[in-house]
Amino acid sequence: MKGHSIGRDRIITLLLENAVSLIMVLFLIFMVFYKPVFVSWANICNIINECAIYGITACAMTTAIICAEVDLSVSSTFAWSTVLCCMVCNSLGFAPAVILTLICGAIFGAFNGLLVACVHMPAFVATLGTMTAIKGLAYVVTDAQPINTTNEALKAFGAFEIAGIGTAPMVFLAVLLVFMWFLKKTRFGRGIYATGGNYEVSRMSGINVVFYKFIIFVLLGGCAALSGIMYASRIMAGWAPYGSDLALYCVASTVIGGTSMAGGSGGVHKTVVGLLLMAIMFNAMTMLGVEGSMQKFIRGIVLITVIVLDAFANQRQKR
Amino acid sequence: MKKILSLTLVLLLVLAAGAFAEGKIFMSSAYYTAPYGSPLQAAVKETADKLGYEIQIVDGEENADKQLSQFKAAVADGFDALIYWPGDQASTPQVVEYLNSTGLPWVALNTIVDDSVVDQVPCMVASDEVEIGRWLGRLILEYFENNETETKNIAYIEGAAGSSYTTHLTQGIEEIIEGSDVVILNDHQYANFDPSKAMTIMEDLLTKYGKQIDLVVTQDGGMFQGAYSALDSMGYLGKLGIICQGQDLIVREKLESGELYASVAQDPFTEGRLGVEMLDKLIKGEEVDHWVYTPTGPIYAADVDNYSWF
Repeated sequence: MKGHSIGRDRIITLLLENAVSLIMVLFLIFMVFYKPVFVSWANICNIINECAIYGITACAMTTAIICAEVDLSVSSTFAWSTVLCCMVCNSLGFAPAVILTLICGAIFGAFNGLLVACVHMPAFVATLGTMTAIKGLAYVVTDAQPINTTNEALKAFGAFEIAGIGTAPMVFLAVLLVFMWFLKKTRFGRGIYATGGNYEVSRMSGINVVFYKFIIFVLLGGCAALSGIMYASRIMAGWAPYGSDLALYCVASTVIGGTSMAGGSGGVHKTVVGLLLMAIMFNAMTMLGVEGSMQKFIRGIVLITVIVLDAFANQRQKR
Repeated sequence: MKKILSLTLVLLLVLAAGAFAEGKIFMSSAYYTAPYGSPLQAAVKETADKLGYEIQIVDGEENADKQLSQFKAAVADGFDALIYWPGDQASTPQVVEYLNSTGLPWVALNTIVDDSVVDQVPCMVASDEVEIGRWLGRLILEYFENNETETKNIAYIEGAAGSSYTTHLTQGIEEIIEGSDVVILNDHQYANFDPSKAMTIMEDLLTKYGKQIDLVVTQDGGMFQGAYSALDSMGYLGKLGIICQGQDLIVREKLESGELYASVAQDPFTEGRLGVEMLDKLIKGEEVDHWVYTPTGPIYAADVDNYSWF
């Protein structure tokens, strides 16, 4: 009898741990039968293209959350990057625009890193401040006006696709593989897990926790800038209000994917599941004829459900 | 048994309604949750129902890339016609390009698209925003003609920085008041169409300029509500004039009470109805004007019954 009970417990824990993937699979099966067009190649490409731009920053956000930090300023860095990219495209051209935007994003990230790792400001407060400052800078530089660009190279970069898959998913895949590799296979990655798992123990063990705390913000700034470049290449414009939902989107997809906000565990591969679930839900609800307000409500309910299931799974594991 | 029969009947009716629908219209609304969006979308639905179309409206969340994805999903799902309410002008070219590539009839609603693609839009149903601004300007001059004040100082609260609506309204006002004695006291103050932000801005302006302000002007009814609350709480109500744009219920109420001098019309009901009517004509292959203007003009207390309010 005890053996049966242990077996059942394991199955329940397994189901709870993989609840998101399970929900996604069941939902996909439902959609295949109810709306066959949902699984048409054109629509699959649409879903992949949609989650790729924010997905780039979500990879870095997951790394930050593993390191027990969070960055609210990515939204502003993203907006600033769309503006800077378009402005530099209009004056110096595509290649300088990409390089300058990435460097600028990394510098913003480094500033956040200094505030958090060296000045020991709470990340929430520090990045809340820089979020406002960077957004303000974008407004000042542009005089609050959107910046258009007609740069042909940027347009070609954004419009390039292979079998319906655009540049953004390709860049996202590359970023994802790099993050998966260094988080799992390198000492650098293990240092991030250790710092997020227990800061004090890691510090006393000789791990350079200040460096890890600093570097994750540089990565976040760089990735937010890269997302901004991809966005600008898709819509050929930059503006200060763009991407205002980026930070919350990244945190939500990380949490839905199953990475704990407490730090020290999780992974970017999990975030991909969260990203896909959000993009699939968004696309499917449009196809199912769900009205805008109801879509917001359902997305909120799914987020809460996933967090509750995650909490249940954690409790069972502890027992 | 009765319940089963009723349920079957309802299901049959729903299916029948679907079967007899003229076609399916898809609308992506960048300002789905804005106060102006709600009545506009209601009018779109009502008109579509009347004309026999199925309609689905989704929230574009002021994100051009998201709107592009929504349209792609809608096209894949077999929608027959599209309505595009853009968030900002700058991001419209890519969406316009895609919508034209679908070969489906479509209209742009409310927000004017970027100059570079204006000619590519089959039909644009929107207000002449600069003209709304001009009307605000004319009302400002009229107020000072009818109310003698030592100075002609205005406190002016704008919508969202960089939005075409805000920029065009300000352009229209400046066109009219240029060369007059009217002075806008403050630099640009953006309340993002948020009543609570407008209230804070108004409080700050009252603290800074106090009795120097002769007239308060806001770019919509929501911000008027915020400014009104600030004037009320700081004891300035009745001591200076107020003018705004919009057809919100609070605007009607304050026009009738005499606390608001006048408003400028921009009717979401008419705009939504015109949008679907123009789309219907495009679906049927009929000629439509390239730009269909939503009517505008001043609204005084005596005119309130001639307008719809939301």
